[in-house]
Amino acid sequence: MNIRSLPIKNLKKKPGRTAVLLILVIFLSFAVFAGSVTVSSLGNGLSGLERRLGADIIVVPSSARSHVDLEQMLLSGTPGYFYMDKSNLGKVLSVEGVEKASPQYFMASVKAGCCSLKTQIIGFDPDTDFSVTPWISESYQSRLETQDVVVGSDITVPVGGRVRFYDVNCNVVAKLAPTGTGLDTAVYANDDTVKILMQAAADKGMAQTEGDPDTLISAIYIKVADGYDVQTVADYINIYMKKVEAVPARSMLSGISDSLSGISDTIKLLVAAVWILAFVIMIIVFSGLVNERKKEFAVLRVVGMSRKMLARLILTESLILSVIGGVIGIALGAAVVFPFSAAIEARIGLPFLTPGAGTVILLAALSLVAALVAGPAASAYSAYKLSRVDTGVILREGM
Amino acid sequence: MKLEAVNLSRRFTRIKGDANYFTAVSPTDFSLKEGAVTVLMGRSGSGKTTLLNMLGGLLEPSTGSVSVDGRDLYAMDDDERSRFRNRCIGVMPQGHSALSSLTVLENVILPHALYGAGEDAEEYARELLSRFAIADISDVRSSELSGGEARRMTIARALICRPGIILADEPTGDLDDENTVLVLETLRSLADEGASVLIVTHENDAARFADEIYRMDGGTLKKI
Repeated sequence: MNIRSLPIKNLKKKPGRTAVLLILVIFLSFAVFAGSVTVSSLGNGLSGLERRLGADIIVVPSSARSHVDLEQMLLSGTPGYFYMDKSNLGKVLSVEGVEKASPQYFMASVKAGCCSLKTQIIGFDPDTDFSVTPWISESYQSRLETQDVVVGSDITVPVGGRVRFYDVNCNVVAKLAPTGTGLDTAVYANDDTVKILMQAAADKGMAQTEGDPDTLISAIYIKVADGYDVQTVADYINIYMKKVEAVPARSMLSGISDSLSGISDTIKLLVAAVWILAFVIMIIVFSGLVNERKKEFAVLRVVGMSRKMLARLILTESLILSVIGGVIGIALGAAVVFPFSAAIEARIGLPFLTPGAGTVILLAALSLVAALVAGPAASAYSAYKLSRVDTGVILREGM
Repeated sequence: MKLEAVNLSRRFTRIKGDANYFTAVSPTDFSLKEGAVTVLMGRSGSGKTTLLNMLGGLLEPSTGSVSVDGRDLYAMDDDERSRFRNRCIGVMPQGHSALSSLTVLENVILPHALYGAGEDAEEYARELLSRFAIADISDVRSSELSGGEARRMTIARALICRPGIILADEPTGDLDDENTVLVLETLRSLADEGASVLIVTHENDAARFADEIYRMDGGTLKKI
């Protein structure tokens, strides 16, 4: 008989009571962990998107908005295309405050026999690009050759495999890290490859433009020099350049950012509400239990247990429940959030990028702390109340 | 060990926050002598259990003091008093006082395990269980015990730390005649070995084992 085993024996003796408390802690830690991972994934998705965009301003043909949903196409990889004259690039480069400018080429493959898959194909100029290359270099350090492509993480073709667009075979040389957006289904190639694909599409009667691919670009990605205001540069382009529209990237993201912030706030509120609700229920349950176990505790006092030891016993029981319930709740949270992150992303329509192992471990640790605090804190009041009652008063009421 | 109470009294509040009190034990002097059995008789509600609880360091008195071998119980802090009670005072509370999560043997060892190694006490615990004829149920959960078995287990538990003072509240309440005699004889023999024993009881039979008899009536203690 070791006194340290008493809390475990007490918990085992009343499985129903133990199960109720355990479920409460599981519920609490599940909510805290799943909620915090979700909020972190949403934040991560937005930062990933910002990083991925990599530009301060994007210049597109002014007719683009009437053809496609610009934000959907640029941020979510929804297949689409538009073109403008390449001479715009030189004009943009001459605008004061523009530090770098690089063209991009968009085209959409089709769901037909000539193409392996229907997706957005994004071409860039390796010599001037500053937005796609840093991202690609995380998984592929060599220069992209003609007919080499880098695919988004959600495209199932393996590295070393081939994809076919308009009957042109392309080599998959790398797969990108996930962004948590529809861009994970896009394909990236250099400008020469895209021009070959545009020509191939035209040869099949599926031309996406009437013009000469060599004189066309889809968009210009701009990096604004330090000391210049992004909005001012964009305004200047909009005023002085014809038939183009300069869109500050941040304003493009603001809609997503607002939705994300709204959802994150709601989740945070729900997590806090669940924590408080579970905590209050636990206080009530512990209070009821202490009342029910008053005579048991009186016996312990009779045989020489001090108030401190009694409080420690009650706190240890709740701590054991908190540890077990906390771990189970976190495991359940992980089992729900991680395997279904793609479904969550599709459901809420926002970038959703689950955090790395380090952040997940940190969130799990914090969730466990939330459970560890809740259990003992909920029982602390009852333990304190009990320790104030004279044992003789309980004994007087009769065993 | 010698226990002495001086001017000991206890009042209880009837209604919380109101000045409506009743006196459970009127100011009284009382002592337990080493090697003697003192029997305290009286009707239900006469204040016997309240007096016993104050003597055992379980209920703060309204006035007066309780000392054991010159040490004032209520001058000690809770930690010290609890440990002192554990080692020196064996209290047998009224009714069923077994811990349901423990076996009979574990219940008996429990007081010893609180401040030391429970394993050291196992042999003596088994000896006590044999003495009270409950050795065969030592591994049974105490929730499965009959009233008589639970009572005998409580007595064994009170004796596990070999206390110098034994305070027994209705120790024969649930026992048949045979076990009643066994318990009273045991308490008598403990007193003969030097313990100070107080038996609070309704049983007139206890009187023949007593060295001193008191009666409690309406909170007032009288020696018979």
